[in-house]
Amino acid sequence: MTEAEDHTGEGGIDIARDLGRLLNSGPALVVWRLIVAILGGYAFTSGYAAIVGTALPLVGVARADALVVAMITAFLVYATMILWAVATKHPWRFGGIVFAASLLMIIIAPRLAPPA
Amino acid sequence: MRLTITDAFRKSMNWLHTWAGVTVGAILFAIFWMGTLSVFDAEIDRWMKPELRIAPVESSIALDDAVATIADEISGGTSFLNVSPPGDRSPVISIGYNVGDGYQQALLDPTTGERLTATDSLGASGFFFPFHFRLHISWQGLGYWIVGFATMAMLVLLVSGIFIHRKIIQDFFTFRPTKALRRSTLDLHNMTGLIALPFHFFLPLTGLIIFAAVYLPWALKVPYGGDDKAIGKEVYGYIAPEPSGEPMGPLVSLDAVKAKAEAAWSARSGEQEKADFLRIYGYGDANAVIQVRQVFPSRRVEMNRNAMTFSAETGEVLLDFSTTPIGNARAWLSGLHFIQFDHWPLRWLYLAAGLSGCAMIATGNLFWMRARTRKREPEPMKVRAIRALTIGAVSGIMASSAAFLLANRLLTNDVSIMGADRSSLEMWAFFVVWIATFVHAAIREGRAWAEQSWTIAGLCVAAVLANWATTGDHPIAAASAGVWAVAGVDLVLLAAAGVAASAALKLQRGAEAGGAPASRRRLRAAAAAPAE
Repeated sequence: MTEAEDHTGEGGIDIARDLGRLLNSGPALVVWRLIVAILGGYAFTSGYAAIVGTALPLVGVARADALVVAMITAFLVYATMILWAVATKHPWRFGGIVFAASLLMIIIAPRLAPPA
Repeated sequence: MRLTITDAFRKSMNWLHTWAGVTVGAILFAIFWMGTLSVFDAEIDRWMKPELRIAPVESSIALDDAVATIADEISGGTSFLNVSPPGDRSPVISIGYNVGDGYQQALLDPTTGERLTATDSLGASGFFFPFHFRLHISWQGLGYWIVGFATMAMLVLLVSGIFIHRKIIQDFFTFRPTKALRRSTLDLHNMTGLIALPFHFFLPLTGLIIFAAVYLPWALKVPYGGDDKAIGKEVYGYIAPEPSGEPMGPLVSLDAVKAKAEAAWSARSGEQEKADFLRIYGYGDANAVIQVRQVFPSRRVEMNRNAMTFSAETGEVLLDFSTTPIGNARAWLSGLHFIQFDHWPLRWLYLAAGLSGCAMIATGNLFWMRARTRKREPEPMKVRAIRALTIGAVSGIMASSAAFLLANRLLTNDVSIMGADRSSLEMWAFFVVWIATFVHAAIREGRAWAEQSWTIAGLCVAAVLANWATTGDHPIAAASAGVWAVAGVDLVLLAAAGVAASAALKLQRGAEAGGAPASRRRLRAAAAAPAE
C-alpha cells in the first residue's frame, strides 16, 4: 500500500466495513471501541482527576494545588485513553481494564478526601 | 506493552482521524471561526457601538464619582456591582449591576463622567465570544458540552493526524498547488495544520482547562468534599459574604481599596501592578465585600493572579489571594487562551493561526469529499450531504458574520419587528442568513462555493460603506482620529472582501474551464494507463 492510498482511503471508507476489515471483526467491536473511548475514557478521566486531587494532599501538596494539577492534566489523560481505545489490539480486555480501573478510582477517591 | 508505530496502528489512527473529522468538522469550524473573531472582540465592539469610539485616555475620573452617577438607580439594592476602570482596548468606565429585570450596564466617559448611551447591540463580546464556547445553546448547559466534545475531538484529531504521516517534515514542505486538486487540498490541509501546530494543540487544551470545572463537575469537587465555597476561596480567591440583614453603611472609597491592593501586589512582584476589575458582592447589606481583581494584566500572560477582598463597610482586608506557583501555571494557560495581555503582534498572529485552523478544518472536509467522488459517476448521497454541510459551515458562517455587522449598521435604535428589539434583530440577521446558506448549498451544490464567496465580498464591502454612511468614520478618518479599532475592523473587512472575491473568481474560472485542470490531467493519465 502506498502512502497516498494510505490516507486517501481509496475505495471509499465505510465506517463498519473499513474497521471491520482492519480488525477482522464486525461492527460490534467498532461500537465497543467507541464506548470505551468516549464513555470509558470519561469515567477514567473523572476517576483520575478525583484521585490526583485527593491523593496529592496526602503527600503534602496543598489541596488547591492538587486540584489544579488534576485540572491541567485531566484532558491529556482523556485524549490518551481515546487514542489507546481505538488503537489497541485487544479492545475487549482493554475496555474491561478501563472500566474496572475507573470504578475503583471513583470508589476510592471520596474516601481519601477530608470531610467537608 | 510495547508501543511501536505499526501499519495497523497508523490505519487505526487514519480511521479515527477521518471519522472524527467528518462528524465534528462543521462544529469545530464554527468554534474556530468565532474564537478567531473574538481575538479582536473589544475592537469589533467599538465598531458596532459608535458611541464608544473614544481614543484611549491616560487618566480618568475617580471610580467613587463614577459610581455616584448611578446612586439613584441602585438605591433600592443590587445583588452585585461591577466596576471596570477604562483600559487601552475599552476606553470607558463600565458599571454593571442587577436591578429589577436583570443585568444593567452603565457606560461612562472616562474624562467627563458623562453617561454614554451605547448602541443596543450584543457586540462581538456578547455574540461572537459566547458563540465560541457555548454556541448560544443555554438549555441545560448543552452548548458547553457540545463544544467540549468537539474540542476533545480536536485534540484527538491532531495527535492522530500526526501519526498518520510517515514523513511529517517532508509533508510540511510539500505544497503542490498545480498538481491534482485532491493532492493540493491534502497538502494545504497538512501545511495549515503543521504551521501553527503548537497553537492548534494548546488552544483546545487550554479551552478545556478553562472549563474544567464544567466538564468534570463531580471529580473536581471530590478533593473538597463538594464544598464549593472552599474551592472558590482557595483556588480562585473568591469569598461570598453571608447576608446580615442589616443595611449597609457608607461605602468605603473604591479608589482607596484599589490603590491599596495595587500597592500590595506591586510590592510583592516588584512591578507596577494594576487592578482592572472591582466587584461588590451583597451591595446594600452590612456584610457586603469589595473584591479587587487583576483579571487581565497588560504585561503578563497569567490572568486572575491577584485578588484582594475588603469589607465594604470598614475597608478591612478579608482575603489576600495570589496564585501559588502551581496555580500560576493554570493562570498562564488560561491567559494564553484569552490573549488579553498587551501584545499586538501576537494578537495578529493569533488571528492568522486561527484562520489557518479554519483552513485546516475546511480542507480536511474537502479532501474527504474528493476522495469519495469518481469522475463520470454520480456523487454518493453522503458526499452531497457533507458538501452542503461544509459549505454552510465554512462560507455560510463567514457570510452570516458579515451580515451581523451589516445589520448592526443598518438597524436603528427604535426598530422593532415582532417584538424583537435592535440587538435581537442583529442576532436574527445572523441566524437567518446562516440557515439560508445551508439551504442554498443544498440546492446549488458545488456552485454554492463561488456564489457564497461573492456574497461574503459584497456583505463586507457593504458593512464598511454602511459604517461610513452612518458614522462618518471611514478608515482614514478613524485612523487619523486615533481610533485604530474602527480603522482596523474596516481594513480587515476590505481585505476579507478582496480574498473572497478572488476566491470566487478562481472557483468560477475553474468551473468554466470544464472542471479543475487537475481532473483533465487525471483523465489523460487514466487514458494512458487504464490499469491504474
